[in-house]
Amino acid sequence: MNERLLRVSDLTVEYSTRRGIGRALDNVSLDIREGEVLGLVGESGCGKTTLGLSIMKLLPRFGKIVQGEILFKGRNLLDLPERIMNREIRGREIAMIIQDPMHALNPVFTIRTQIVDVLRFHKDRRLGPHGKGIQLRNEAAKMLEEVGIADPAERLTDYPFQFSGGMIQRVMVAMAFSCNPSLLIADEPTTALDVTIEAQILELLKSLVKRYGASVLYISHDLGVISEISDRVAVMYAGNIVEYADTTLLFEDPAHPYTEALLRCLPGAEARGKRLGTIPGRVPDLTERPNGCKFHPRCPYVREICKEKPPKLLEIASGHSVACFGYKKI
Amino acid sequence: MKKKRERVPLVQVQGLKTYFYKGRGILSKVFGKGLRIVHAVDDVSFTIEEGKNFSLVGETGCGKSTVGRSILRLVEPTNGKILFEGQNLLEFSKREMQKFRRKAQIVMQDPRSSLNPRMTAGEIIAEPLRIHGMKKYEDEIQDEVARLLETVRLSSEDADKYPHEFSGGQARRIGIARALVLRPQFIVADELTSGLDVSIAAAILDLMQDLQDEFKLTYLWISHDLHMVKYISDSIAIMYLGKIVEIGRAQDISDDPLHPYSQALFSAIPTVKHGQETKKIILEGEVPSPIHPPSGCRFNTRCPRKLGAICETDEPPCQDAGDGHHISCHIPLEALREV
Repeated sequence: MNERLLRVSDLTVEYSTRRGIGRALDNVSLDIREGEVLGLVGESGCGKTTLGLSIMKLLPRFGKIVQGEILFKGRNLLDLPERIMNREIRGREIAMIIQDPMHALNPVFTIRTQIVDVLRFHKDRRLGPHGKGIQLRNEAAKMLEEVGIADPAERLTDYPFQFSGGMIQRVMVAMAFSCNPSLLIADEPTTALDVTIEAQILELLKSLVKRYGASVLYISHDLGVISEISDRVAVMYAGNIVEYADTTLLFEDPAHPYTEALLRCLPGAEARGKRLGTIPGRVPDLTERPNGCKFHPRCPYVREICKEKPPKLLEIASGHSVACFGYKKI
Repeated sequence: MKKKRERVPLVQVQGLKTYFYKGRGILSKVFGKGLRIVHAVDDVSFTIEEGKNFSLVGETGCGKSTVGRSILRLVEPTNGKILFEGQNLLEFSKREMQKFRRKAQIVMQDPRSSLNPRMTAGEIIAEPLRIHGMKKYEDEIQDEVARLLETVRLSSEDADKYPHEFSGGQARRIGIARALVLRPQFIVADELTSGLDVSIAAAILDLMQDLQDEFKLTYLWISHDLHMVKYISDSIAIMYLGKIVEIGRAQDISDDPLHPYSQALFSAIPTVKHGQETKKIILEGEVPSPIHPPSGCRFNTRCPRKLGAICETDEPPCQDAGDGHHISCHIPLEALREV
């Protein structure tokens, strides 16, 4: 359980935009242990997806990893050539589920073609393009059954548009697990779904993760989902991890002013009649990030030192780290 | 002219039905699937008191947005009555309708597609004023626009910007300003906070509450976000496949939902929990098609507490649990309460 599966250290990613170069990730370090679900939470534009894509080395062309290391099972992914990434890592060791399933699948191929493609590429390369088709098709059907799609053999010949949002996300889950990956990166897999369907998908993910013994990096902006699925949580703000803690610790005793403010923003019956806490200002633009602690212009507890240098992520209790100069004052 | 009638609720919806017809086009006639009726809203009734927050909740395709649009006659209801200050809208002449439109406005779901990309924010907000001829002089209009932009906490300089220059939260504020410009009494807020980050959504909700106090507004919230609904509403109606399955005071429904669907819906919301683990009710399957809704109780295909044949054949009775709390279910009240 405590073996480190993935370790990201000092990862810095820059995007070149029309307005100049911006740091999407700034010295991000985190690790994922075997068999755990690490939740990554933050508002849009804070770098969550960039982190997921960096691990897969799938950053868009204008993004560049300028510094850092991504150790996966002892190998630095950043040193691996594209060919090895494709053969041994992507889809096989590390699978990814993206936010919008409708766009993740090719609309002109049946889902059978698309699942079999994955299987053939990773499991059955030697058999050539026509080898053992039936076997692969059966395996694809088995995967669909496993994710709870009724009539798997029939549904295999359907095209993506013939599935509902929840069903297509199940297909994505099936594809992700088809090669038994050790790490699953799930980037907002339930954001586009209704609550009852979301609950189904979360339940499915939980059971598959347990059965296959995979670790998960679960990316979401929804604190509720994160609190339900993760063992540990990393909170991101403007390209930094600002707090990193076991799930219960984080939600019961948030140490970073940003985490605290986020939790206050959640509406609920308890808050009825009261005003919600809002965070003044907004997430700074990629190219206009402030010096020092990036949260300082919006922080109610700001001090002089916050404007000068960025705080380091320090452990304040066992299993609880925070990047803030004044955490004790809260 | 404005005589205040006592005790007439602002909006009363009675037996509202809105059907859509599919397959009227020439292609369908040639390839012959025939006429199919989408039962988007099927016999919905509720009342909204002045100054209150009423919420319609449900999943995608349950008909909640159609109800909101039907009330403003943006889609034409098939049957039923919509009373606004006691008068039936569906019998209004064109002229009366135009007057009514000053009193009732909508903030649309998608702020980007509901704002014309070729108009500046200022023009967008001023358009209703021009259409209704509320202000005669250009400088009056400009003043009003500037004032509204500040009311929704934007700056008056934003009037010259185009919609794409605004962030999601700001675009919603422009939608709100446009709805407010005619000084309405009633606003339909369709999925106002969906797709926004929590901190932005919280700011929008706070703004809406301030506006309500300032302008004495009545809101109809349409949302699938149960957290938000619990927070904001006085009354809640839960919809499933075109029908209201449970309706009542917000507190009663969120603390103690009785209908099996409401129970599943509330238990399914992911929450930041403190300590106690709650049991989740996970529904099987998906919402059936509103073209061929299940007979009897429409929830019978997914209901975890289905009684048997009666659920498939008979329309469920409306049971009164007191304080305006109504549930449509075959399971007797006492049995519903037990769980």
